[in-house]
Amino acid sequence: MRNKILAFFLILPIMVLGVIIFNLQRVRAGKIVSVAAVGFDPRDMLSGRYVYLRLDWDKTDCAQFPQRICPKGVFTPTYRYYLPEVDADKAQKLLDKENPPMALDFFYTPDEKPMLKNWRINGKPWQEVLNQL
Amino acid sequence: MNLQKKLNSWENEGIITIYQKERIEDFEKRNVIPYLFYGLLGVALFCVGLGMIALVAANWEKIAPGVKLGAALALLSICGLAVFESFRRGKKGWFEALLILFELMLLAFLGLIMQLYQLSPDSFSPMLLWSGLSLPLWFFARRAVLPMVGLPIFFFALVNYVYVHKTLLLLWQKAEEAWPASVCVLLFLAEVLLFQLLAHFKKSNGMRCALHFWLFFNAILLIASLDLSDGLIFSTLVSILVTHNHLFIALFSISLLMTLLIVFLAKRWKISYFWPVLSILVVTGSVIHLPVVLSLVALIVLALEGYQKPNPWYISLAMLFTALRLLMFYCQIFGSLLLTGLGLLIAGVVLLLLILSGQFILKKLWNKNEK
Repeated sequence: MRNKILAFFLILPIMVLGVIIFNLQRVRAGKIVSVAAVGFDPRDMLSGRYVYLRLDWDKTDCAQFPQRICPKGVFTPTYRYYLPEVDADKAQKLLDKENPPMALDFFYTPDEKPMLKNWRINGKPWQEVLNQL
Repeated sequence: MNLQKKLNSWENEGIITIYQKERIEDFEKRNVIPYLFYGLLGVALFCVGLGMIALVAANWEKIAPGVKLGAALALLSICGLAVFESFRRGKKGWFEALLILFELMLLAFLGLIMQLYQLSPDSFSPMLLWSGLSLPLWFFARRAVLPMVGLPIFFFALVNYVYVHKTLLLLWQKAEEAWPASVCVLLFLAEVLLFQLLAHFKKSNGMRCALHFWLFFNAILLIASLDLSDGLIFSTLVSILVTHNHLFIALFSISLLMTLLIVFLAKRWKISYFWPVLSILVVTGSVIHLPVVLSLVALIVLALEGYQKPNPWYISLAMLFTALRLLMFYCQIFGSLLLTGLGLLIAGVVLLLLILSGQFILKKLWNKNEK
């Protein structure tokens, strides 16, 4: 009996993680929307391996959302975009020097919490921009 | 001293006969461990493991997210299977080690999901999920390592969860307004019941040990926070935990030390102290200044134990805690007087008198004990 209980509690975490991944994948199947963003604090933009960004709804095109209304309440005011260690320094230098227009891409489905997809600098994916530096 | 020398000396002392000595020597020769083989095997496995980690780390960004998740899931499943097999075959050492590995891999898997899906939850949510999923497995551990580390993580994560969810926090606060000790008594009662239930599962020794320890730690922490707050234990603890980390760490450290000492004393006296502690908590919830007295009584008992043993270390420690608590009292009593010259003078004289009388009493007790 103890063997069966142990087996159940060993399988349970794997199943729960599976369900979490399944749900995340479901959100990823949603429409991709782009929301303008600004660096929250230019002097301390990078802490460890992420960029701290605040959404800028004034510069966001609300036409991409249903009924042309920006659903501000669904999004959190700030987001962290995690970066690989090697790219963090380049990103820091770029943001310190230029302050380019930025945006965050999200997977968006009405009634679901949006999921962060990508960080865009000057309309291009961050990988492309940082590789050119 | 090697075995041959030991055998010779045992033979000389007449503990064993020549025949027994020869039989032991034969047995030992048959059971020689091939250290060289195991040593080389260890080096080879280490190289393979390190090489794999280095290879994966160097190409981490190039590996597709699906592959990363699949590999992590496969590794976790294999580890889970190994945990199960070692348990089924009764290999205790392997089971304990593999269970720790499984828990660490579970945590790493959660981190990987957060990284791949760019999730940034508050720091305690993944911990709550991890400890919640791991908690049932701790009951199978024979050693206390996992539950010892896991239980406080679960506790902190749970407290943080309640604090973040305002409805739950409001519920706790209302309960405390009605009866200050309600939440802590309920928590304590739940822990005691869990502990009593565990007494029937003799094999889950690790969880019992850990729960035993943290139960008393919690009791002390609650008494200490009762002492320092106006009776709103849970709200005070949560606000200290979330807003003043350094204060919480100080409170945590003092409570941890006191718990260690009380557990030690209880072991010496062989007393069951769940229900007395519970009743103390029930009473202290209603009487405001009783926790102060209770803290001091605990410290005096500690000092007395040191005197009876006699152990100067306990006495010094108890004196230190008592002095710290008295100092707080002292500041409360003298208050703004401490800001004036005359007030400082009076305060200093009172403190000196306290120290001298303490020294005098201790010296007398010590001399009496020596006689």
